[in-house]
Amino acid sequence: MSVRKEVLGLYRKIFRLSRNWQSADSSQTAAEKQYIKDEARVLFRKNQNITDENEIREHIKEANIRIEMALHYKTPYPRHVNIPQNVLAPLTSKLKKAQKRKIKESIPLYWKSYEDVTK
Amino acid sequence: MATAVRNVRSLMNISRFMIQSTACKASAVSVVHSRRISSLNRCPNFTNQLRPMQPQQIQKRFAGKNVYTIEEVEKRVMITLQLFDKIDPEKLTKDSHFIKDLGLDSLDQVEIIMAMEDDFDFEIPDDDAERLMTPALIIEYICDKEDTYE
Repeated sequence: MSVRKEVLGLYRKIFRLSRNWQSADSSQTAAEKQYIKDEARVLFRKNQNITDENEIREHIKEANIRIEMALHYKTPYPRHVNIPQNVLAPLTSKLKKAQKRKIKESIPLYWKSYEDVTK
Repeated sequence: MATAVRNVRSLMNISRFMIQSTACKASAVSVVHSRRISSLNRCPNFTNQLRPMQPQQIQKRFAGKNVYTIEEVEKRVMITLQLFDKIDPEKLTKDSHFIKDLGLDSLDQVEIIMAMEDDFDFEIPDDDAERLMTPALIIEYICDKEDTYE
């Protein structure tokens, strides 16, 4: 199946997910539905000009991971990651090359579309 | 003149008396009859519908399904599209192509089809959805899938 079809199918899948979404905290259902739709729109548009097929496949994996985690943990928000040990915090001090590399390696795939913290 | 009035008055009295007596009789009879009828009428909700129906009142009724005409479908599709914020309502016609004429992209087209699904409350599979590129095609597709009549 062509990559384009997969991506559009994913987009549709996320919107269908938001339609039937039930939040764990029932007062947040509408807010989380809106969040799912907005995040999908923003992130898909951010990445829409990527041409390398392998990159696109990585992003497809990222979307699938986000969908599965949302369904499993009953929350659409991605789980934040801690900085690995022996690495200084990025915002307070300038990072060395090795530290930047360590942080980059520790970030899981579902954070791929978000801003690079080490920059 | 006076006699006429007297006659009329007496006639009225007589008629009143007769009405009252017949009313009594009628009510007596109706009490008996109504008791019998009420014992038969265990389903009062349905006996309301046992009137003979006029031909023009007969409607098609499907269990829970909506019945549309083609104009209704058209109107709803166009209104839903005009509410979409990326579409310029001036440029929107029945045959305007989403990608070529209206400058949208395939992600927007997916969103539009999802909005149609929400509005008409039925699922459109992916293969069909990707070829619905103008409002006219959408209207035609919905009319084929739902029961619409002229």
